[in-house]
Amino acid sequence: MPINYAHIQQNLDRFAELTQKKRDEARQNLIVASKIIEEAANKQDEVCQAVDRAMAQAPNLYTAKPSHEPILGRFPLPICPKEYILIAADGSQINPSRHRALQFCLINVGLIQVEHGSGKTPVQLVFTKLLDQDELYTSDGSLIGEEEVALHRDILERQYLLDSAPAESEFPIITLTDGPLEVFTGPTFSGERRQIIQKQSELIDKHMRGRGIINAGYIDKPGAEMINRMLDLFAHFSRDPNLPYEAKKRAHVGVSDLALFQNRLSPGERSAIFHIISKSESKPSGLDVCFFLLNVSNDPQEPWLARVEFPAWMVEDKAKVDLLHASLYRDAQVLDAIPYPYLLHRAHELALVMMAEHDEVEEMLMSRLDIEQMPRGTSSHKQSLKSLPKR
Amino acid sequence: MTTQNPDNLSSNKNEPIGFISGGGLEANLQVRLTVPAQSVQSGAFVVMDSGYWRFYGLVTDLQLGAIDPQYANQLNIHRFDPALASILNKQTLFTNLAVMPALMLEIGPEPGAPEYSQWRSALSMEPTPMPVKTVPDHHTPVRLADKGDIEDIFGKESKTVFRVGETREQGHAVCLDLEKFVQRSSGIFGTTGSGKSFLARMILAGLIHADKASTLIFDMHNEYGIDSTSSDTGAAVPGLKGKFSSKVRLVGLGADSSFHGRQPDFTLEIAHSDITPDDVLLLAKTLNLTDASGILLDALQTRYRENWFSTFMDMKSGEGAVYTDEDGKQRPTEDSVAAWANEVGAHVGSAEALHRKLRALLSRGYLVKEPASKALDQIINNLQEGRHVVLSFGNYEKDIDYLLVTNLITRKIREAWEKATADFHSKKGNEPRPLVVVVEEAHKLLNREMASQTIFSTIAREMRKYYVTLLIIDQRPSQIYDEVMSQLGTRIAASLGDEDDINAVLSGLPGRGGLRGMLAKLQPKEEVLMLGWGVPMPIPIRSRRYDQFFWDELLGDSNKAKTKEDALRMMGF
Amino acid sequence: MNEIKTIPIGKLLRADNRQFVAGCRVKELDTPALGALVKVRLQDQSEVYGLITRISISDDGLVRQLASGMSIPPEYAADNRHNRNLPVEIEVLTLGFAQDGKLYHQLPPRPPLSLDALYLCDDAELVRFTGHGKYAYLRHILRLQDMPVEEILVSHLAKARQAHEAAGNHDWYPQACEQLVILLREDYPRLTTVLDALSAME
Repeated sequence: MPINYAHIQQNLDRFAELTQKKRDEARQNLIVASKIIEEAANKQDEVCQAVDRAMAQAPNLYTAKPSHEPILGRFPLPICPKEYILIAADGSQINPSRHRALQFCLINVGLIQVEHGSGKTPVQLVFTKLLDQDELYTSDGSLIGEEEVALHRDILERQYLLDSAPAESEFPIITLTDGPLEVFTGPTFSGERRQIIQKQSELIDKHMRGRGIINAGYIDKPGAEMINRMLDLFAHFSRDPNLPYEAKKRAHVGVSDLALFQNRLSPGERSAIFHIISKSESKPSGLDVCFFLLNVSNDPQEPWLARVEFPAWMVEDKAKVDLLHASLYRDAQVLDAIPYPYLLHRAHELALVMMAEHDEVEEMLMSRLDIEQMPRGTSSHKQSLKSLPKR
Repeated sequence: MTTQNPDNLSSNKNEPIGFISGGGLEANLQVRLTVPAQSVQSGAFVVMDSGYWRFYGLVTDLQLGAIDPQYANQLNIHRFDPALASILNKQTLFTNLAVMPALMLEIGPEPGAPEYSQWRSALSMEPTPMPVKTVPDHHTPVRLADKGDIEDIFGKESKTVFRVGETREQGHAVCLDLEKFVQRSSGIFGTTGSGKSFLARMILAGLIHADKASTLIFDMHNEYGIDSTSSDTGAAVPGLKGKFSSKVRLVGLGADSSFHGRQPDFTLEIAHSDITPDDVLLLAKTLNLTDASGILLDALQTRYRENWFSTFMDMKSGEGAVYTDEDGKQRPTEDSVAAWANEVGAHVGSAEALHRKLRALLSRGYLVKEPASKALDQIINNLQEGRHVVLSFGNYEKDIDYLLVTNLITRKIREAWEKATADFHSKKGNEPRPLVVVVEEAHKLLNREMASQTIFSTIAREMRKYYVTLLIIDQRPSQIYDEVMSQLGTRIAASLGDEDDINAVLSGLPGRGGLRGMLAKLQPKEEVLMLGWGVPMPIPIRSRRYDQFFWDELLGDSNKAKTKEDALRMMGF
Repeated sequence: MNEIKTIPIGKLLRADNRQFVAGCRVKELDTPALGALVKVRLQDQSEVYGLITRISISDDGLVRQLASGMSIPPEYAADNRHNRNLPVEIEVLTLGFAQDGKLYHQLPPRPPLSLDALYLCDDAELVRFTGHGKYAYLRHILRLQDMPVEEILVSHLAKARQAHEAAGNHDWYPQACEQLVILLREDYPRLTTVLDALSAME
């Protein structure tokens, strides 16, 4: 059924008005925030204290915290080392659906590894995992949803990265995924499942650290307002250090970290490193993560900022930070129209699972079922209708 | 035409040279050549089998063609890879033949095929080659005729089927059926130096050898009877008398005639009483006679009958023809021309003029009051008995001699043969022996002016029912009266330079455009074109050589003896 | 050296009796050549033979960006050459088919309706197909419009010639040229273009 344009028409004006209002608000807030950050730059210690105070008070907090580097520091592009190993991974998934004849869950992870400086062709790997039956259902018997599957996927990505990193290498190794490093960003798990995953994650991190592997996450067009929150805290506690922090009340909303630093970084420059403070009642604490913002563009008029996350243990390892900085910028420059790390793009290509293959896998599984004389489920009517060929 | 027993028909084994791609009866057949162009020449005799028929034709033209003129206009070999260019040329450039269809013959299905016996039994008579009336199918393969095909059409060589020469492209024998040849008047034409005299000698030799007709040869230039020497090569040229001594009578004109020391069998003297006013009138131009002459001659003949000429010639004119009478007047004598003129009421001056002019005849040594023998009758008798007479003119080379003698003799012949034919029809005698009168320089006797007067045109037009035909040998056929030319059956033409002469040779023959070109391109001394009624279809041939080898072939062993005699004679013994 | 024998077909984009277009992903080095003989297997076990007449590489965002980018690290250049599957549209002209072991140079009775893979014919099969009959399949090639017929012909003939001569048959190529001339001789501009191209092949 086509859209009822008449209905929309009524809302259009209101929508436009509100959007405009919000934009104006954001613009105003940016101005304010910009002023605050400049002030904060001179009072870095106070900023740290503000954050500490908030951490002590609030059960849930998601903010940035300055590191040893000055808040408004600008760090030019270092010379990129000639030889290093870069491994990128990306995954895609087929979520189980009760509408389909058969419930299954498939995770596809594409991995690509390049030895920069060797001239060798990068090595491609694709791992495909079918979740076990017991992994398909939550404790209350319902099928796991998309977010849960994504969690599995994240872990798998990291596991495979660790597994394929060369055991012994004279060159530094960087692993790269798309998205934040923190695993438990999404769903809430409880009990046993949570523990398993948590343990797994910790183990991976430990091994990575042990081998000195730079485990990085790349966020393109970051929308987070962590630094904004940090400024908020600073502003709040500088007014009155003893005023209780109310998480709900937020000043100058709508100012992303991106907006704050958009015009403060030249092509190839990175911002100062910040810690990520992510505290939650419902989620277990994970790895300590740091980040910096990086302008991956090469056009001074057109900044393009990405957020690069990495484990806190390497925050003072200048060599590693510089390598990460330079290599990511280099990789993003390979695709100059829209800068994005080439290798991540490739990993994404490898991981893609198309609808047709979804059908194929289903077919494969179904025929296995037939052979073993088990009844097939039937798809729900909703799904059958959706499945009609669109070709 | 020879009839063919279909069982005996030759099966041509030659590879096809092409196939029929178009054309028709009127405009010639078009043949796409599948062999290199230079392997076929114009004038080639070809055979095409289509349906139950075998078609025979003559190649009259070759034309280069191309699927698209652009293929022909550029040198493909320069533009493309040589192997590719060669393939391209083969597929886009071609040669077409124009073939004039002449004859067709019903040959039926393959002898082994089931339909064959049915067809055979349905035949009402043995099929013979006939003038072409239909066309072969598209794509009928075309082959060069082989020996058997030529024989099927032109006959197999025998005593009466005389080999005139060979096909130009493959050298198969081409023959002339002499029995048919003598049934109509015929002609041998060609410029001086074209080899027509050699050709004539060969055919006469063939005729004599075949013994189906007698020949009377008016040998104006002493070429046929006795041996002579070729002006070109200096080789000896055998004569007919030497080769056929018993069959041939060599006759000399005038009592004193001789041929390079050789005596004739007898000499011919013509009596005054043999000459008729018509004979004289024939010489009107030569003698410069006036119109009045005819009347005068008639008057003479009425008065003096066969002695008119003698009597007239005995009359006096000039000084001795007048006397002075009593009155002192000049009066014609009794025996004068004037006296006679007065007597018959003729104009004296005309009569005296006639008398004067006729005196030219008196100087001719062969014209006598009383010949020693009846040579004229002797000639006739020889001819009727089956022998051949070569009348050699010796030293009498003037037109007046030729005209008078030939006409006179031929007149006698006509009388004799007409009588014999009448006797034959009323069962009083045998069938007359066919006679061929061989006339050279025919344009002198048979041109338009003369034609109405000479006996020759009569012979050409009528005499075949009396078993007398002409064989004309001439280099200017365009000057021969076209009514006579169109009566000719067989024509054998050597190279002719003049376009009018070429057209004259073709006169009376339907639709022979292609032949014109062929006639124009004949090689002198080497090639001739045979055509006409006596020949099944026109064909250019390489003529046989008139040499020792020819005689050996013709006469076989009996020639060997002759040869030795000839050799001795030629050496002066 | 290209050792790939089959190209998996992602999608059959369009097909009729005369030609079909398959969408595949192939590595750059494995891209089949213009004029190569290929075959596909149909549902009923018959095989359709065809000639590759057009290969177009679809718009691949990555490739487009790479092309215009600054100097690419050699490892990434190698990555594109060896690793990445390019989205390629392969257009195949139908030349004939085989059924129950017999070869035909006519168009198949049914067009392919779905395909798994495109098989590149090896030399033996090339010789077998092109040596069958009287070069009747050439007329399908000549029927092409909007295509550089001579380029396709030349590349095909070059391969076939090589295969036949390696098998000891030196008559095949001259005869094929002869057939071409016969088929095209009514069309002077076209024939001369083809012959120019063939001559240059030497």
